[in-house]
Amino acid sequence: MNSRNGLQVPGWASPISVMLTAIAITANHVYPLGGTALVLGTVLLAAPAVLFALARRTGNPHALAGYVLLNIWIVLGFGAIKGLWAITLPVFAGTFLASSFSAYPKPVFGPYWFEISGVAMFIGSVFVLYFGLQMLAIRRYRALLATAALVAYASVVVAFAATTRDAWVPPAQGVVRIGVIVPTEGPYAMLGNSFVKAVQMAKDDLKDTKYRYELVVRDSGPDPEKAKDVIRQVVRVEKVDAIVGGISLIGQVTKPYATEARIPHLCVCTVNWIGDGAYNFTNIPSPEAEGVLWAKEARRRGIKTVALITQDYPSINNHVKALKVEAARVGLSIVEEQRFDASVTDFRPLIVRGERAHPDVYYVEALEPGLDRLGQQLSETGIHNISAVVAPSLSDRPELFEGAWYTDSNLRDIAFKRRFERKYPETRFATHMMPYAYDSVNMIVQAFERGQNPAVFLRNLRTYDGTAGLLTKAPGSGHFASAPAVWTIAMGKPSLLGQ
Amino acid sequence: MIRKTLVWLFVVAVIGVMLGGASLIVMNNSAMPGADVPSGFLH
Repeated sequence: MNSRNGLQVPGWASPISVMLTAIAITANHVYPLGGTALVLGTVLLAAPAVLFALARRTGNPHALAGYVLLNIWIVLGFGAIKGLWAITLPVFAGTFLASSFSAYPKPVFGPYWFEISGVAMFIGSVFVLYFGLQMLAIRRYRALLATAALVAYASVVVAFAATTRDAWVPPAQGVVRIGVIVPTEGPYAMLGNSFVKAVQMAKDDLKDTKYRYELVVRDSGPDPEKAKDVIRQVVRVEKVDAIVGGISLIGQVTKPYATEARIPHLCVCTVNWIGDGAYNFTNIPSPEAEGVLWAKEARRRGIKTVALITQDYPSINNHVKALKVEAARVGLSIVEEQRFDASVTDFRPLIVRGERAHPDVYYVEALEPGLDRLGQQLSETGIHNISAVVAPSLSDRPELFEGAWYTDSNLRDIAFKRRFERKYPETRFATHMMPYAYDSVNMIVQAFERGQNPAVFLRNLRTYDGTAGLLTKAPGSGHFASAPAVWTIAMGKPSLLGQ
Repeated sequence: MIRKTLVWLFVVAVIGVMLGGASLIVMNNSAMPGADVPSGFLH
């Protein structure tokens, strides 16, 4: 081995470890860089090989220095910063801390191979460091640098534990800003506007609070891509302390921004994976809970056969899927199933087919304007044994569904609805989401009033007794579960059964 | 020689545990996006 200025050309183990690490780095960078990662990979494979060979053959000090710099780049840039800090520590330390202490959020992972190649990148970099240290000709320096590296790695672990902990920070100037992000236009106008009013009512109902609460109400619009700009503005520029949102389509876009800002996001939406139990929580009955109650009520009414006439639409399909599972479990027979798309205006052929099956009940679900057209045509045919999940409560003409029964959000206190209607006579009360919107604001307020980090408060919260009845959450879960209720349309209006 | 072999065996075992453990943790992470279809309209 040649020695130049205290440095010596290392053995073959060093370039081999560099090249294996370069493969892991390339695999890892395919995710953020795509095909460009191959350029990075080529540089990381070729450059060290050339420099090493040159240094070994000619003893060129510049080649050796270049090789050392590449080693440092791999160890610090890819190994320590990306491999250890951004991937390996969240995977191991993050998971351990989150499972042991609620002050730590569950880490969010990327694709499987991204994470695994990241861990491999860190492991490889440790080998690069180990064999790289052999380049130091003086043994004492080698030991010194190895000790320094160990201390540095340990410090990184301590720093990770310190910085990922969610601590309580009193709100600036005693003002808590709650972002309200929901679409209030187009097909979402009714739900969205009702949602905003429910949130405002929750804020207006606050009495004698330690902090002042401000709502930052923003219309996300119905397009998730365009909603990103609104959400970014609310989170990064207006720097809200928490978010209350609705509609899964928008909630899934809000989720990463809430995680990035480490603020709680309570979403009145049904898509399970939005509620990660770290910063994002969902708060509404699941389609499965609706299905269970629907089947139970059907059995109570002596129903044995069901005809499904439903629009082909994600949320409706989710309800139908859950309902069919539960129907099969309790022995209800689906005698006819018809799915139509949004363009259908003449439902009579579907109704005729349904009639031929002689079902005990017609399960119908559609979006407006199809819902009311279907209701009208069913009514004209003399069919009134209708049932659904949620749908009639969103109808513009609920009188078309007179006598229909359906499951929807629970209202423990019907006075809440009456109070809402008195306060906002121009806004229709959409039972489906409103009690959950109201309760979500109050949960966040409770966290601040108790002087707890709101995300940690929600992680620890197991039950909440609100306007929607008792909400429960399993340890580690991001979903506040609640029981729906059975409603009926009586005198042209939704009416909670038994009240 | 035996000591060196044992050290390398230990190193390989540590790498295996790290990669295997990471695989299990990442695969069992409940916060990963699932097959759920975003609802869109109703909620």
